Amino acid sequence: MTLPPTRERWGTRVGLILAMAGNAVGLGNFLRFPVQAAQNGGGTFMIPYFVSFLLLGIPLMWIEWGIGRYGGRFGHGTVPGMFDVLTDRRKKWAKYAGVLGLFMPLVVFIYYTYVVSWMLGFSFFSLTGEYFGLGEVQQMRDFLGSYQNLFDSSVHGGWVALLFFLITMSFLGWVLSRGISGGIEKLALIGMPILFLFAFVLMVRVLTLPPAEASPMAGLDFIWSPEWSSLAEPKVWLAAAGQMFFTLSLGMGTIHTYASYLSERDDITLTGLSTGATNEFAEVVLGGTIAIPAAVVFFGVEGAQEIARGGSFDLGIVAMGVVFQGLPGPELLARLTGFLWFFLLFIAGITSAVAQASPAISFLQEGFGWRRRRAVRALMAIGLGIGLLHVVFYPTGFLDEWDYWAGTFGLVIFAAIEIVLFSFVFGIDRGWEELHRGADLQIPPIYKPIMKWVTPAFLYTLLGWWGVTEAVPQFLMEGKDPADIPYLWLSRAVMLVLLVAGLLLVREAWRRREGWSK
Amino acid sequence: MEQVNGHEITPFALGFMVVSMTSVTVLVVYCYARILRGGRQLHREADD
Repeated sequence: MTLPPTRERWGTRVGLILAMAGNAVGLGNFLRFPVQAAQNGGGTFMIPYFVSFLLLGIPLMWIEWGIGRYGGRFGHGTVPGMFDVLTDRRKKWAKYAGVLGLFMPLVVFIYYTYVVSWMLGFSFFSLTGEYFGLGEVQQMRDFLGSYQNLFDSSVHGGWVALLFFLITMSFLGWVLSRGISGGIEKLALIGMPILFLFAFVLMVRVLTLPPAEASPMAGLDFIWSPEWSSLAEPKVWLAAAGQMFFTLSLGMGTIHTYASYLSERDDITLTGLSTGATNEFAEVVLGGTIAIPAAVVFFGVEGAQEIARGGSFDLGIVAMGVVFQGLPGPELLARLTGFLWFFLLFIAGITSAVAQASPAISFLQEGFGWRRRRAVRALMAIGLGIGLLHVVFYPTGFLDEWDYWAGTFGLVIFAAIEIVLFSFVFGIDRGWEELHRGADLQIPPIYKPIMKWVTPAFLYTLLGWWGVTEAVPQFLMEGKDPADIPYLWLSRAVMLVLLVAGLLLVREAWRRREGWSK
Repeated sequence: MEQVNGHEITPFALGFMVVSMTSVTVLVVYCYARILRGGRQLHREADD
């Protein structure tokens, strides 16, 4: 069986690897990973981290590549169709379960693009020196807070965040409308080398900083010092497993869509491993060597600890904004360094956002026969329309609600479903054979029982743990400001509408498909 | 965490860092070396 002639395809192998790596390398590599490592045992975090990479990340990644390429052979670019063919079209529920692979990337795309647009905004502010002169952490917090709040014009007019959101969304629309090879692949071929170049320059700059509150080496010590007792703590293992989902973009549906543009004779084992390795390099080598060590130099170990507790944006925007102002040398150079950092984050984000947008576009093309440009226009309209809710209601925690249910917990639910379908319904023997079709790399045989037993056990443990310790309190809105609760319910209602719309659209797409086949 | 006078890195931390970074670097080099040495191109490239 070969690809239907109308389906798009990747142009080059390196383009595919960089696009997949672009999907995986995102804000989490440079902001979330160092914070997680620092909060979960330092150097010892890397033990559960690498165990998770080997037992959860790599097997799931290969499975997602395999499901994607397999679905693509039947003309399916999205998960509902892929789950349907995994069950040999015998289980009607499978395509509806696959709606998660449309819903979650769409939801994440909408709020993630808004966050990515902040990075574009701060790239611009760095070049113009807008925040230079705000040398205190609280001043930078106010600067960021005003940017994020449409109704706070103390620093920015509310329209500023909206403007950068519009620019980012327009740029994404332009790239996506140019197609897989002409748009997404070209963005990766240009963007990823720039990202790595900027990251190397920043890493060298941070490591050569003169000691202030502490030295850069003390910063590395802060991240990498082992806390042996943490190895016995379940939360550390689960934090490491969770980081795997974020960093490799697993459990979302984006890898599936990208892999569907391959033919059955194209390798996925070596190519998949290469993208995973590229992501790990960006995370462990580069991500761990920029933000936290820089923060330690300027704020000391205790100050950096406090900042890391405040979360990724406190570290990546607030603390780094103060750091750039304190860099030795001319201000112009400091501004340029700030630009490198925020634009690096913008590239990391934008190459992930195009992947998150792809399942919805592919679904509209294949399920309803829409042309790509029309599908992109529809998606951009939805993204802008619903994205405005995030712009307006951001201070209420509206976005965090989406980030938890779709961008965190939902990933594990989706992966828990797909691994059962792949290993037990489709069958691990057929799955193993499918992964090795056209393979340039023989997967070590130990991975066959790992995919069937170990990875599912790992996943369901993670799901159960998170369900009890996080999902229930989150659902009950424990610790939330009562004034925000109506907005949080609104946030959930919008997600529910999108989920129901996805289910109805899948039903309609299958009705049309059956009509065509008759 | 164990700290050494605010300006240094402990041997353990250095060890973890070096081993972790070396591991992922070796994996990247291995993958790309395999691709460059014997890996095939995508079909459209090969067809071209």
